[in-house]
Amino acid sequence: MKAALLMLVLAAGAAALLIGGLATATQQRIAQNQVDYDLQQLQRAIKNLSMTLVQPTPDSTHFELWSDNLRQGFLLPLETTQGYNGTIRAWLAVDQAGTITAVSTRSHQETPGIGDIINAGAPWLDQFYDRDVRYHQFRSKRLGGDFDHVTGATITSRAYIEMVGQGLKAHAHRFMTGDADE
Amino acid sequence: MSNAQQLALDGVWRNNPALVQLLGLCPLLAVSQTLVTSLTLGLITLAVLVAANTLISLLKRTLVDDVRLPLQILVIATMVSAADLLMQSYFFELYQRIGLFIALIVTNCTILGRTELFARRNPVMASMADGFWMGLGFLWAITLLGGLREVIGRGTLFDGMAQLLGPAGDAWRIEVHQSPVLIMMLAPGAFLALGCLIALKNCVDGYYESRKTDRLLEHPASGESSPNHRA
Repeated sequence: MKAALLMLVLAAGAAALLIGGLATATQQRIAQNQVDYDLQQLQRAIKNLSMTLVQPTPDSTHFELWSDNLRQGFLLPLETTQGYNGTIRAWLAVDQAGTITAVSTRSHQETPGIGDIINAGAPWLDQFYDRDVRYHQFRSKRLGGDFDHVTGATITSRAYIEMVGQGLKAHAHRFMTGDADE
Repeated sequence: MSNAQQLALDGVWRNNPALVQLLGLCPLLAVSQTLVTSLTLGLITLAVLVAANTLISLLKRTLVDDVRLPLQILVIATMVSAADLLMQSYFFELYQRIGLFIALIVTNCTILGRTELFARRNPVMASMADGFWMGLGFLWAITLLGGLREVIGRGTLFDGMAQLLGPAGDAWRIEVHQSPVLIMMLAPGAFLALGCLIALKNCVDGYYESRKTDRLLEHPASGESSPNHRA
C-alpha cells in the first residue's frame, strides 16, 4: 500500500514538473501566436490593408480604423448566444456614417456543414455590406426584414442577422451620444 | 513470421484499433470531417501512443499492481498535455479547429488498451514497435475516413493543408466536385463511412480466407494452417 502511494505521488510529481516546465517554456510563444492569430483575423475582417488599427484606450474592446491621418471607421466586436450552439463571435467593420463595410466571424460552434454559412469569408455574409441600421430592417425576409436566411440553418441565420443589427444599433447610439468619439 | 512482423500486421491490419477493435471511436468519428484534421489527430495519437507505451514499459518493474490504471492514465494524460502545448506553439491555427479533441485523446481507449495489454508485460523495444504499428493502424483508418468524408461531403480534398504546412499547403487543395452531400459532414455520415470501411476490410479478409481454403482443399498436404484458422 505504501509503495503504491509513493509511486503515485512520485509519478504525479514528475508529471507536474514536466508539464509545468513545458508550459513555462511555451507560454510566450503561445501568447504570441494568439496575438498573431487575432491580428490576422482582424485584418481579414476589415479587408483593407491600407487601414491601421488603433485601440483608442488599452482596455477598449473596439478598434478605430485610421488611414491618411483620418478616422475612417470602427471595428466592433459582436457576440450572441442565440445561435444553435454556444457563442457566435464576429467582427463588424463600419465606416464613419455607420454603414457596414465588412463582417467576419471570429469563432462559432454551430453544426459543422450547416453552420458553415457564417464561416469567415462565406458568401452569405456579403449581403451585410453597405447596409445601414437607419434604412434596413435587421430581420430575415420571412419576418419582414431585408436579409436572406438559409433554409436548414434558420436559427443560425436569424441569430447572426440580429447580432449584426443590435451591434450596429448600439454603435449608432454610442456614436450619436459621443461616447465612442474619444 | 517473425515477432516484429507479427506486431506490424496486427497493428496495421489484423487487429486494427479503429476497424477491428473499434476503440477510440469518439475522436475517430468527431474529427474525421476533413483529411487534414484527421491526419493531424492521427499523427498526434501515434506520437502519444509510442511515448505512453515506451514509458509504461520502462516503468513496468516498479509498477504497483493496485495503482496501475491511475498511473497509466497519468502517463497518457501527461503525454497528451505535452502534445497539446506543443501544438499550440507550432500549429496554432489548426489548434483552433481541433484543439478540443486533443484533450480527448486521453480517453482514447486504444492507448490505455495498449499500455494495459501490451506495454505492461513486454520489453521496451517491442512496446515501442507495438505503439508505432497500432498508431499507424489508427492513422491510416482515420485519414482514409477523413478523406472519404471530405470528398463526398465537401467536394474537396486537402482543404486547409496550409494550417499544417504553412502557405505552401494551399497548392494541395483539390476541388473534386460541386455537389457536396451534407450528411457526410454530420455525425451520421461518420458512422456510415466507418461502416463501409469495416465492411470493405471484412470483404478483403473474406476473399483471402476463401482463397486460402480453396488452396487447402486442392493441395491439403501443402497447407500449414488448418482451414479454420482465422486470417
